[in-house]
Amino acid sequence: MPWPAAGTSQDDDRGRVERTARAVLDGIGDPATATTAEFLGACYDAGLAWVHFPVGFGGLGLPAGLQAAADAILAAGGRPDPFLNNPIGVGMAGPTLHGHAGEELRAKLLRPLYTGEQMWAQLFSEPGAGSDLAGLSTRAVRDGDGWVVDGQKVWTSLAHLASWALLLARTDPDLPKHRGLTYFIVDMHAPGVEVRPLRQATGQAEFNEVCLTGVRIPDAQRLGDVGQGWNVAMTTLMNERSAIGDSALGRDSGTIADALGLWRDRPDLHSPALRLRLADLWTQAEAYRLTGERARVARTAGPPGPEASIGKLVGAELNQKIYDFCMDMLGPEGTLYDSYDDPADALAAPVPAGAGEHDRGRNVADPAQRPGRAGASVARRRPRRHRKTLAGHPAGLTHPAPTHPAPAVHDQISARSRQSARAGVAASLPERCRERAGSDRCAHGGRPRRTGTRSGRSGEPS
Amino acid sequence: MSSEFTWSAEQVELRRTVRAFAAQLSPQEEVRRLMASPLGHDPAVWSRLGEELGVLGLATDEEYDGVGDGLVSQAVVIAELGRALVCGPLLGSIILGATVLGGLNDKAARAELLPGLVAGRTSAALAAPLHRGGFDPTAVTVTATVRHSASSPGGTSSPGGTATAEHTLRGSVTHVLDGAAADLLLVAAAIGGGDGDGDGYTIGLFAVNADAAGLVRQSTPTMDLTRRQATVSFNDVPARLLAAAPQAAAVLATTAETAAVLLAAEQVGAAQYLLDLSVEYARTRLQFGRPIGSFQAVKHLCADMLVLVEQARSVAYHGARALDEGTDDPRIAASLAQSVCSKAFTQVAAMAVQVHGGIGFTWKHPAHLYLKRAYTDAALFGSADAHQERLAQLVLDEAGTS
Repeated sequence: MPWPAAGTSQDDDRGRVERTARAVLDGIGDPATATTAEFLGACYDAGLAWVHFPVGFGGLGLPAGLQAAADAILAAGGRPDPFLNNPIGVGMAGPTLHGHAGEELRAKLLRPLYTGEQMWAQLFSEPGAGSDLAGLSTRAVRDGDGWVVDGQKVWTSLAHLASWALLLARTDPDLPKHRGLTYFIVDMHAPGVEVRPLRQATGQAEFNEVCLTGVRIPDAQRLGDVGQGWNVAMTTLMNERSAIGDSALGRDSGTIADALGLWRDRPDLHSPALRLRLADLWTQAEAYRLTGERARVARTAGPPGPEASIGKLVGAELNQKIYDFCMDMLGPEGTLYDSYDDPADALAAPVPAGAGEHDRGRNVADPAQRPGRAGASVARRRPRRHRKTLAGHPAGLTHPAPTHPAPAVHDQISARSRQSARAGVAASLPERCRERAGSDRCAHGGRPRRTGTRSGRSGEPS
Repeated sequence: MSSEFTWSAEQVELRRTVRAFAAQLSPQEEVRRLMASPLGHDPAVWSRLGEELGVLGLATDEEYDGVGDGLVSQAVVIAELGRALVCGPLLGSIILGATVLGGLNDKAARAELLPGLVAGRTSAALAAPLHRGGFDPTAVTVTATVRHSASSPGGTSSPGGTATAEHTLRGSVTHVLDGAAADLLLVAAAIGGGDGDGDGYTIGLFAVNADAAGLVRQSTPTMDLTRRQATVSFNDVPARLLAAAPQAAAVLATTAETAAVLLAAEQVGAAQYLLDLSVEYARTRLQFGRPIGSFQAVKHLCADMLVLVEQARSVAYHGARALDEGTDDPRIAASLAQSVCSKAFTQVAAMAVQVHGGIGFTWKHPAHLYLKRAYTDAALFGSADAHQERLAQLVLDEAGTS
């Protein structure tokens, strides 16, 4: 995203954004008295949802770089985090609608999307098309003034809560695989949409399988031209979070904080070997954090370099090692677990501003308050989600890192995701390995799929 | 907004200039020629880096013919020198020598000794135990004795004529980097005898001229032929006191941190070269009718190398900025940089050999030069483990008790 050069007009614009943000806070008064929807609605109406969107659609028509100025003031004033409130909606659907939807659709959808009154999900991955997203086989067939969709989607975060979803479906099975796709938005309450929670190893169900059986979609809900779905999907994936001002992570935050907290609170469990292991993990966490910081700075200066691509790979492996450490440190205590009987997603309950990570966290540093439950807390601590798409590689999104796995099973679950992430990093090696014919196929771990073939399970939900 | 990880136009230009200079004057054939030569470097090229390009004194004050730009700029240059394995007394004269001298309170000594080093006209070496990841006073192997001759006999007295006592050094130091050919030896020595307090001695920092009587230097064969070491013996060698306790130990501790960070930059530059070399090879080497880079095993090896190099770059420049601007605890920043970069460079070097297969293990291929540099660098100023131990003390032990 281009960052405008500093200049007088930008200074004026910045002043305007900041004044507008303060006016919103004045209008809200005590943030404790406003609901999330009220607070975010006020931000939207003032044009501070995405300042680069047009006036009347949550924006002010200003450079995207000024979003950070608004976010800083609003967040300090107690604004709930709109991204945590509706991650797929705010992070992905909003920018995609902005780029590809007509005025009517945007006017209808953007506000409740931003306020979280209408949650969003993303119907991309399928049982037979994960890393190789373009190999998907859900069919959309033209029927009068609309489309009829049949297929099965999987790993659909938040589908059980969503009012709307982004859908990528095949409209022409005779074209080469990337070219036969079309992008739609789907009313998740439409007849034929069936959501089945996908219970994870943690006992929770954040993901879902979604069966689409004869689902009718009006043609007005098509984004982009027929056959242009892949390009629209790329907008979605590239735009994640970019409209939201990223904030720097401080030292000793994130997952390593859990291990440090455990170390600090449980001197009775210290050993020299664990001490060196934790120092090693701390070192890795710093290298990870500083590289993320470097990527963040690079994004404001120009096209991201390779440092932007490694976050997911390193983060996933590091989180695993950190919780592995916690399990080893806790010993038998780590074998206990809070409960497997609570499959509800934490996001099902209203998430107070900025409290998402804490709430879900059940800090490992609190064993005294939760005797006998420390291990469960470790296991249930949600590793930070890595939503950054790896350059040119959609796997980062179609396979979100598993979120609450118990450390013991974490290895098994994330092995696949790790390979995807590594392939994504390989793909970012500039104009090198991947230029050659055949290399991309290999990065995705398989032979090229024949165009339009349906995988065995697709459309046949069991 | 943080200025960390942003580069000025000058720094970008600096990188470009030094890379072009190295490509022209230090191509690999030249490195191979010099590593087989007695001195190990070309003094003319070294002084061109100093006087013509002015890139050896970027962290040295302008008052002493430096540029006063700071460690980030110096790190940018050192990364490029490391990338091309440019031969010269970088460790002895700049990373150690100029850093020690720049930290002295003794202005006259700085004015006398620094300009020659940053111009590349003279060279220096430091005989002090920094190999455990910090200055370790208990590992000092040289003792200094006060010579009670009232009138200064000259030769090593400071130009200001304020010397009150002459010292002689006795002892031997191994692994003195660039020590065999240095014009100036900077020596940490225990000042014993009657004026000792506490443990019976204090640490002083001394200067010894190359031609001093009683100085014996034995060049020692090294695994990394592009980097020279010597065993230096002092047999009642007259020496000039540059700093006494407690300043001497403080200067040496700071020098250890600076050296950790600047060496990290070299490690990043050299590792980046190996990554580039490996990716290029993976792209062009054909087996089974296709580039080996199209095989996931090779491609992922390259991806892992990239991750190591990028993380190393982050901590190296974080360290340089932390020392320049005080944005982080310098002890933490330095140990973080050395710990991560030593591991990264050695791993990347080993992986580069793997990507190249058999050819990567031949003498004519550059991989072994970098592999040897990697393992040598990792041992110079504290191993990755030694720095991790320091981090454990700083982050876990100290913070944990607060």
